[in-house]
Amino acid sequence: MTLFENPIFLTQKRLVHRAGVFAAMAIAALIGLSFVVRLIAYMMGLTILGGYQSIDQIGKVYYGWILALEIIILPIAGFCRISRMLFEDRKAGLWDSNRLTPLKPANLVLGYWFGPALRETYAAVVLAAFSLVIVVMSGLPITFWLGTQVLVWSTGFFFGLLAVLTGLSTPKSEGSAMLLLTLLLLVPISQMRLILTNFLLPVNGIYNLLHDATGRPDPWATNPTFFGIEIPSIIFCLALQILLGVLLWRVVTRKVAHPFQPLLQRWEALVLFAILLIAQHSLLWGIWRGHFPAIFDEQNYRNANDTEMMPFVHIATIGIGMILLAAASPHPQQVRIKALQTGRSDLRLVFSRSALPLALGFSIMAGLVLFTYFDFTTADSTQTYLIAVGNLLVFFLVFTLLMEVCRLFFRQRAASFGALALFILCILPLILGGVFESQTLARCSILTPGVLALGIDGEVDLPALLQTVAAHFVIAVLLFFLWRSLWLRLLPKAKPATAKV
Amino acid sequence: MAAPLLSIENLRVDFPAVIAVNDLSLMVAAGEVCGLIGPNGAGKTTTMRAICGLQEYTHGTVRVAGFDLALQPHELKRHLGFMPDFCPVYERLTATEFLDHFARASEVPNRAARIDECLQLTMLTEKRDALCAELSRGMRQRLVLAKTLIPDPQVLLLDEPASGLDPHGRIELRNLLLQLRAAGKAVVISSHILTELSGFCNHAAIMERGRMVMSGTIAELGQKVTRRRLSVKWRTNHPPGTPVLQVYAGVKSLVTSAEGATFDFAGEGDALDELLKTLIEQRVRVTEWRNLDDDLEQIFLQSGAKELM
Repeated sequence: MTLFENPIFLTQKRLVHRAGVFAAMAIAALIGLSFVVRLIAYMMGLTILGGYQSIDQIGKVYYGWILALEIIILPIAGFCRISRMLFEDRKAGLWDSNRLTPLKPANLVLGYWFGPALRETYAAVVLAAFSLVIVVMSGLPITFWLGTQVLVWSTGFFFGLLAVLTGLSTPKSEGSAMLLLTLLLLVPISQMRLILTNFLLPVNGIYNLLHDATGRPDPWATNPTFFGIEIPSIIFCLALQILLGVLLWRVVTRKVAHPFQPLLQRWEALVLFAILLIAQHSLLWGIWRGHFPAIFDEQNYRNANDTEMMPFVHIATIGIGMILLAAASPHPQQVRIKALQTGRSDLRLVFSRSALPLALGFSIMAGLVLFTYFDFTTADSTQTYLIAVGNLLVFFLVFTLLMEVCRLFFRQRAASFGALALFILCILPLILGGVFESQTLARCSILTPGVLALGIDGEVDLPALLQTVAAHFVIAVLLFFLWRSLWLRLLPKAKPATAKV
Repeated sequence: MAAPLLSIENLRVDFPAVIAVNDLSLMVAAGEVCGLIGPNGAGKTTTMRAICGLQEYTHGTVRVAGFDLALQPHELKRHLGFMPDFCPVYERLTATEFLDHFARASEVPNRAARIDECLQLTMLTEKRDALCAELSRGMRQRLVLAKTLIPDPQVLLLDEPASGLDPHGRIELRNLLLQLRAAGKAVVISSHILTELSGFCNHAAIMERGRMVMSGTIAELGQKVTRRRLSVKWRTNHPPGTPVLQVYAGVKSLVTSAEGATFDFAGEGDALDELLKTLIEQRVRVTEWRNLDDDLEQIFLQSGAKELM
C-alpha cells in the first residue's frame, strides 16, 4: 500500500483540505514574494545596500529569515499538529476504530506521520520555492540551498515521527507540548556549541552552511569531530537523525501492534541511551583525548564553554536516563498481570520486568563511555571516574526504585509524590546549601558528586565526594528494601486460583 | 450446535482493584444473536473490548471464525466488527466519506456499492452527503453501525447500539438484526433495554460482577429458572380463578385483577398441567395461559443478578 492509497493519510488529507490550505500557502507566498521584491530592488539599484556589502550577503540574510520560518512551520508547528490530532483521535475512539481494521501498524503510523501536518508542509514547500529563487538571484551556490533544505526537512520528518510517539503515549494533550518545549528550551543552552541538541536539531549544520559563504573564522563554523575524527556537520546531523529515526519507527510500530507493552522495551531504551550518550561524548572526546581533566587540544577548543561541558553533560545524561527509565518501566498492574499469566508470584519475576536491570545497564554504558576519558595514572583520575560513574549508578537506581515505589504506594498520585521525593533528594539540599552557605549541605544532593568531580575546578575534595556517593548508595539500598516489601505484600494477591470477585 | 463463530473460554480481565471479567466462557454460532445482559459494571463492555484486543486480558482464549486473538490478531480483525457504546466519527467528513475511509481500510471490493448498501440498511441514504458533525446522536449511532457492517464481518459485537435511537430507529435496528441473524452472522449485543432484546435475541448471557451467571438459548434459560412466573387470563362473566390460586400449593407472589392474575409457581411439567386442570374444573374460562419466563426481563430478574438497570 503506497502512501497515496493509505486510508488514514487520505482521510487526514481530506480533513486538512476541508479546513482550508490556500490561506496558509498564500501567506507563505506573500512572505517569500516580499523578500524577492526587496532583493530585486537591491539588484536594480532602487535601494541602497546599507550595512550589507554585496547582493549575496543580502540574499543570505533573507534566506536565513525564510529558513527560520520554515523551521517554525515544519518541525515545530508540524509536531504540535500531528501529536494533537493523534491525541484527539485517541480520545474520540477513532484510533481504536482504525486499529480494529486490518491496516498494518506501519500503515497507521505512516498515515498519521504525513497526513495531519499537510497544511504546514504545503506552506513550507512554498517558502522553500521562494528561498530557491532568492539563492539563485543572489548568486549563492545551489548546494548551500540544498544542504540547508535537507536539514530542515529531515528535522521535520524526525519531529513528525516523534510527534506520533508522543501523541500515542501521552495521557494529556499538554504532554506533547511539554516535550517540545523541553527540546526547544535546550536551544538557548546551545551557547555550548558541542551540546548534542545542536546536532540533533540542525542548529550547527545550518549555521555551518550559512556561515561558510562569508568566510569569517568562527569556532561555531567548524565541523564536529567523532572521537577526534572530523565529520561534516550535515553528515553528523543526518546520521544521528536517521539512526534515531529508525529506532523510533521500530518503537512506534511495535507500540501500535502491542499497545499493552511499555512505551520502550528495555533493549530499545538501552540502544537509545547508547546512541545519545556515544554521540554526545564523541563530540567532546577530542578536547581531552583520554587525559581528563588535562586539555589535549587547547587551540581548537578555545571556547571556554567547551571545556566546562562535562558537568552539564553529566546532568543531561541523568535527565535522559530518567526519561528512558520512566518510558521502559512497566506499570505495577502489568507486572501483576504477568504474574497471573505465568502463575509465578516471586520477586525474580518482578525484577525481570522492572527497570532496575536497565538502570544497571545505563550505568555500565555510561561507565564504558567515561572510561575512554581517563588515563587512570593518578589517584585523582581514578577517584573522579569512580565518583562520576558511582553517582550515575546511584541516581539511576534511586530514581527507578522511587518511581516504582511511588507507583505501588500512591498509585494515581505517584507522579506528584515522585516529583516531591526527587525535589527533596536533588534540589532541596542545593537550596539549603545556598541559604546557609554550607558546601556540606549542598553536597547532600544526589546530583552534586558527579557534577563537582567532573568540573574543572581543581579544589574539589574527591575523597569526601566518594564518601557522599557511598552515603547516597545507602538511600538506594533502603529504597530497595521498601520496594521489595511492597512487592512481597502485593504478590500474594496475584495468585490466580484464589482470586475472588 | 454449529461450530461457533465466536468462542470465548475462561476469559479473565484484571483491573488494579477488581477482576473485571472472571473466568467467562461463551460460544456464539452462526445465526445466533446473543444478548449480553448485566447491570452497570458487570463487565459487558470490558468483555467486548477484550474480544477485540482493545483490552488486555490476563488469560483465556478468544477465537473469532477460528482465528485466535493471541496468535492471529490480524486475521481475526477481518472477521470481526465492533460498535462501541459511543459514536467515534470524523466530524468534518461526510457520511459517505466516513464509510469510504473504513471501506478502504478493510480493503472492501466495490466500495461505492457496499457503502450505498450499508447506508440503505441503516436508513442514512438521505444523509449520505451530510457532514458527521451535522448528524443527530441517533444518526451517528446508525452511521457507526454502518461502518461496522462495511467489511461484512462474520461476528458483530454491538455495545448498547439502541441507546441513542428513537422508537422508529429501534424498530429498524431490530429488523436489521433479524436480517443479520438470517444472513448467518454471529451477533453479541449488550443493552439495557431488555424487552427490546427479547425481540431478536435467540440466546442470552447474563453477567454480574465479571462472572457469567447463566447463558444459553432463551428457552434453556427459562427452564433453568426454578421459579416460573405465569400469567393467566379468564373471562370476566364466569367464575374468577383467584380463589383457586390463593389456596393452591406452590403459588406465590400472586397479583390479581378482574381479568386475570400473574404469579410465581414452584413446579413444572405435570404440576403445571395439574394447576390448569384444577382451574378449568372450577369453571374458570381460561383465555390465556402464558409462561413469562421466555421474557429476558423475567429471566434476568430471576437469574440472581442483583442490580436491575
